[in-house]
Amino acid sequence: MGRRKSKRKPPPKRKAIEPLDQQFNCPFCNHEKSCEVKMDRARNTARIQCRVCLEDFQTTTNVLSEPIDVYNDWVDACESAN
Amino acid sequence: MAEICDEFKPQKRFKKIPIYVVEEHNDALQFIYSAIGGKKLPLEGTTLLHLDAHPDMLIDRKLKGEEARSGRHVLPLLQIENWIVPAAAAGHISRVVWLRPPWASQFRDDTRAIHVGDHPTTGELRVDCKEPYYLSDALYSSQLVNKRKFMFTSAELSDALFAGDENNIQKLITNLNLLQPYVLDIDLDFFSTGNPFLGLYESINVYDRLQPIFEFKLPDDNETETMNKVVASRERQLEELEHLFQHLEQYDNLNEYEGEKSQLYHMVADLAAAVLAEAERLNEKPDWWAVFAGGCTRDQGGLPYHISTEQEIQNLVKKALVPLLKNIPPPVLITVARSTDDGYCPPHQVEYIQSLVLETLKEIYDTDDPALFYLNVNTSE
Repeated sequence: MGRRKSKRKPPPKRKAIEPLDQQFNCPFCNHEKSCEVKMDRARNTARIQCRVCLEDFQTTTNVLSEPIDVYNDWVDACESAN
Repeated sequence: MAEICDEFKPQKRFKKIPIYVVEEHNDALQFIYSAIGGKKLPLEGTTLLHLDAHPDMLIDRKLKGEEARSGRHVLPLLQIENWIVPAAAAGHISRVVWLRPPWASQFRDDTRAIHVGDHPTTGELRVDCKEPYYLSDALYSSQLVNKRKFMFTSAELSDALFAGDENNIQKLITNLNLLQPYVLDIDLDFFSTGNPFLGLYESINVYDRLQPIFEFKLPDDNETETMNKVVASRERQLEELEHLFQHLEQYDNLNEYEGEKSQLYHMVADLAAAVLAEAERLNEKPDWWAVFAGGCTRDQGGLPYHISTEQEIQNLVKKALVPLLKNIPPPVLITVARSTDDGYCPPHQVEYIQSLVLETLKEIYDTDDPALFYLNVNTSE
C-alpha cells in the first residue's frame, strides 16, 4: 500500500511505458528489420549494422539513449550526406 | 524573454514541436526521457514548465536514489504525484516552474534551491527542503549523499492576474526567468480541478473524519534537530497508519491486529467500524485503500477543489495561457496529461478542455499532430 498524495485507485497492471523498437529497416538495402544495434553503455557509444548488406554506423549515446536513437542518428547522417 | 543557455544546447532539433497526450501524468516522463535519449534535449539542464493544480513533486518514500538514477528503469516505479523529483535527482531536469491556478496553494510562491539525494543510511531518495509539503510526508533529510541541486519556482497563473495591468504578464515572465531548453507540460486539471476523495462514503463524512487521524502539526522552529525529530515522528505515524490499513485491507476489521493499541489505533478502529457499516448498507466491499489514500491527502488540509464554469475555463486558456505562451519562446516538446480517470480533471469537462488547449497550442506553435498516447495504453491485466 503506497502513500499517495493524489490518486484514487491503485493503477491497473498495464503497459503505459511505450515499448521501443529494437530492429530497424536498412536505409541502404531497404531490407525490413535487418539492422541491429549494439549499445556500449560504458563508452557511451553504439553501433548499428545491417546483417544483410553489412552497412554500419557508429554514434555517441547517453544514459537515456535507446536503439531507436542510434538508428535515427544513422538516418539523419544519411540525409545530411545526401 | 528566455534565452538558450549554450551549456545546455541540445545537439538535434525536432522538425515540428511534438505534443504527447497521456492519461496519467507520470506517463509524460517517458517522452521527455526519449527526447533526451534522442539528443533533442540535453542530458542535463532542462527546465520543466509545469501547469497543474498539483505540484507532483513528492517522492515515493521507498524509492532508492540509485533507482532514480537508473535511466528509463525508473519509469515503471513512478506515480502521478511523484514523477518529477526523481528526474531532478538524475540531473535530467534542473529546474521546475510550477504554475498553479489560484485555488491551489501547496507551495508558497517563490524560487528556491532544493537538494535531492540519498538518505545516508537507507539510500532512499530525500530532499533538504523544510517546507510543509515535504515535512508532512517525512521526505526531509538533513544529510544527503549523491546529491544534486535543482531550482523550483512556484507562481500563480490566472486571467485575473493579467486583467488588472498588462505589465503583469511581463512581471511574471521576468520573475520566471525561463531558460531554454524547456518542456511545456500541462495537466488539464489546471483549468478545472476535482477532488475524488470528497465523495468517499460521503454520508458518513469520511473525508473530514480522516483529518485528525492523518493530521500533521508543523514544528515551531526550523532548526535541523527539530526537523529530524519531526520527520522521525511523522515516519512512525505514517508507518503505523499503513500497517493498520493493510490489516483492514486483509481482514475488514482490527480485531486481530497485533500492533500497539495506541491512540491512533483507536481512532482508526472507530472510523473502520463506521466505514464497514456504511459499506454494508451500500452492499459493497469497503474500499480501505481509498480511505487510506484519502487520508494521505488530509495532512495539510486537503487537495485543491474547484470545478470551473465553461467561461472560467475559456478565460484561463485565452486570457492566461495564451498571453503567457505568446511572450515566451517555444518549448522543445509539449506533454499534456488528462488526469480524468482518477477524477482530478472532471470527466464531463475533460474533452472540452483538451480540445481547447490543443487548438490553442496548434495556433501558437508549429506542432505535429498530437500523439494521443492515452488511447493506446493497455489497461488489461
